[in-house]
Amino acid sequence: MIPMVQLAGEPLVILLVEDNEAHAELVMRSMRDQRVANIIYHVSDGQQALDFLFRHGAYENAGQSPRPNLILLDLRLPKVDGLDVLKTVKQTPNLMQIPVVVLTSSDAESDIIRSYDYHANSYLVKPLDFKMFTKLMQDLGFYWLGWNAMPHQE
Amino acid sequence: MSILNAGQPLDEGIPRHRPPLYRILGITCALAAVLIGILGLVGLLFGIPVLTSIVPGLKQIAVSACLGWIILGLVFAFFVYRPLTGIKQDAAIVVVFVTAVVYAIELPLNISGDHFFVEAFLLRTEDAILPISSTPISPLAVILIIASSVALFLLLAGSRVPVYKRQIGNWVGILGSAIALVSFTILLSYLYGNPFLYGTVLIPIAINAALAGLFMGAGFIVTAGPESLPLSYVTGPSIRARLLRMLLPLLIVIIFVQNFLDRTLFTYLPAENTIFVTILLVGFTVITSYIVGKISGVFSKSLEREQLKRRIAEDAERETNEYLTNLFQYANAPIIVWDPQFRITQFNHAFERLTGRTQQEVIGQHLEILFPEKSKNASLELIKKTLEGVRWESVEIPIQHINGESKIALWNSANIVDPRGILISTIAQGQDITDRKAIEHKQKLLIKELEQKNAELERFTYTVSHDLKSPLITIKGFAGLIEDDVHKGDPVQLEKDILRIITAADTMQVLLADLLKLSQVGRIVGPPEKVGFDTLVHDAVNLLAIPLAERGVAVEIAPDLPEVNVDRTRIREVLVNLIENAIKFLGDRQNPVIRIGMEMKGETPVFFVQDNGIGIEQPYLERIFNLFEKLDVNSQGAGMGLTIVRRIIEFHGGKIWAESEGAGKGTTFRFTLPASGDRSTDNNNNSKIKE
Repeated sequence: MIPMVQLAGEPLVILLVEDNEAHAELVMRSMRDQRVANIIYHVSDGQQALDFLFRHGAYENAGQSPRPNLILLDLRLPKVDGLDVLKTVKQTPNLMQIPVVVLTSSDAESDIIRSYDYHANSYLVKPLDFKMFTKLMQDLGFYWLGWNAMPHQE
Repeated sequence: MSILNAGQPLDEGIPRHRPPLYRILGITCALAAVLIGILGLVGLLFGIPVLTSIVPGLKQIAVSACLGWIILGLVFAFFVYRPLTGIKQDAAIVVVFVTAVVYAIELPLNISGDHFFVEAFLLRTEDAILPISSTPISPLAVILIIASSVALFLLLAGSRVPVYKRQIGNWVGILGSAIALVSFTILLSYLYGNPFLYGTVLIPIAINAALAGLFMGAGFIVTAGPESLPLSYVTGPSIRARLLRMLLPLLIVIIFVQNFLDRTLFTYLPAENTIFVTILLVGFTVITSYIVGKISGVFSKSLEREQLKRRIAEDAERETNEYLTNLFQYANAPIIVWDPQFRITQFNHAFERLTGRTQQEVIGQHLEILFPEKSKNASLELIKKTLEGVRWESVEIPIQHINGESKIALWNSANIVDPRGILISTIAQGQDITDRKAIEHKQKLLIKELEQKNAELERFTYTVSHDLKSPLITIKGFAGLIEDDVHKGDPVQLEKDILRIITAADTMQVLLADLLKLSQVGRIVGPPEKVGFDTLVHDAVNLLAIPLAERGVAVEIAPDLPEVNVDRTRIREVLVNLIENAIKFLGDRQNPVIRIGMEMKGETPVFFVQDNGIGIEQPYLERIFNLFEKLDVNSQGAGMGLTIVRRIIEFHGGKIWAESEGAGKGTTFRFTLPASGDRSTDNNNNSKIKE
């Protein structure tokens, strides 16, 4: 039942955009235990996320900022808002194919609508319950990095 | 009486549709003249003296006189029968004109006693067309014919110039009277056996020619109609007309009777009966006097009745006027009347209230004094349109009160014209909708404010739910992880995870405390008091003495800070928050300085708290005031300090904003406050609305 996840032996890269340190740790520790080989890059605000994706500033070196296979995006972020990051990613030809999964504590209808308006690939509300949280993280990894087919990148 | 918006066309001086009696009389007179002309011709042709001179032996009518009366009489009859139009009218005018000219040219010739040239052509040539002999025409007859031509010409041509119809009617009537009078005098002279012009160098006029002239003259008089001279003197309800109507026939009768008596009695009675004749005459005079007296009595009685009627009518009119005047003066709506030169002629009390000006002040003035400079020209354009008969319905024209205030009013107008349709004045009635407009405006602003508040509230609840949930996820999450740690027997990780939980719980506590504070800002604002701004600044700096000293911050406070009228505790809180904020974001700057002072921006004092810390980049300058907004995730606090600051400032009716040259360039927070004695917190809402 475990899908094939290795692409040419390369580890799968996740960009985690999360301003709350504790939440970031929760996500990373929940995903660490699963069998999907992945590297998680964590940035803590919207500006850093864009810098990472466009290889600006501190992320100029391509080796430090590989193209992610998945972006986990919180909505309320300092400096550049999560929705603005989403909008930018989905408007940039080079980046728009990267699946962006919104992962937030907000279940506000307006956030959901706007996220999909900006072409989010999925919208997940952080569960309050820890077991659910862990389960969601694992399913998320399997689905997007395992089952989900993506075009080949050069 | 004036008529509102009367669009009746101008009454014609000579009405197209004359009263039937006048038409019949006119046609009869014209045809009588024609008949005399024709009979005269026939008489001349066949040598019938009765037809040529009525009494044999008298002057015969001339051929040209016959022709003249026939031509003019026919044209006249046609004209009265049915007013000529178009080409027919043109032809008639030409005929009449040519007739007048021909007779006028021949007048001097004729005075010398010669034949008229038409007659000369008809009678004198070798091969004369008419085998008749005729005396030359009298110059008097020529003059009568010319006068008739002119009258006829005026009638025909007059219908083309409607403006002068009344005058033309009068001219025709006067000419007709002259013709008739001259003819009548001639007839009288014949009647008394002393024909006119007899025995002079000039040729006398024939009796039947004079008769034709009388008919033509009478025809002109009736055709000029009762509205024109001379009939206007004897028609209509005026006293003069009525008096003349009664006395004229009486006078004529008396004259004739007296004359008749004179002649017959003195001729036929013997001389010794002179005494009898005298008695008869006295008797007749007495009877006449009695009749005249009786008539005068009847007349004066009817005159009295008339006066009584008029007085009643006048009373009624006065009463109506009083109603109208009161209605006009005390109506709640402003009403104004102006003449075609746009000078104010009437101005009611409501208008006085609207403008603050008095009637005496504005009457006779140009309308423009009522309008605000800004909209004056546009309003005057609208008003000019009333000259062309435009009526306003709910036209919006602003009016200026003398205190400078602009009032907005909706206007309706109507034009008042005289019976001839000429504009006398325009009346306009307004409705002051300034308050309505102001309320509408206020309403709009309130709605906007409410929408803003609503959006703010939405954002608030959303933020609160989101941000309160966040530490809860952390707590539950790490509680779960602790379980793992215990299983794994990893005490280091366990300790870390517990710390996470504690931190999250602390965050929640701060959040809740701040939220409480924020919710109180709206409710607890103490009464404003006058306080020196420097006092507030010193209080705040003293409260923060320890953190300021720890960080080694120099605080520079500007001298001469003004008094402000504020809730002292709250504004001190603002200052504490701003200074704390400045300390928090000083970065690793050497010689950190916080400057507090005031600058005048126009009339408004703008206070500032300035630091030389890490600064803020342009895009974030507005966002920093949002709830839970933190530019740096690592900074302390829940991100509510500046939100609270803004709320307090806004509750005081002020504004706050941040300025920064960019990262590393320091930040300046600027805000406005109500000055002492200026605005209190109570009317802040108003001042906000005015913005």
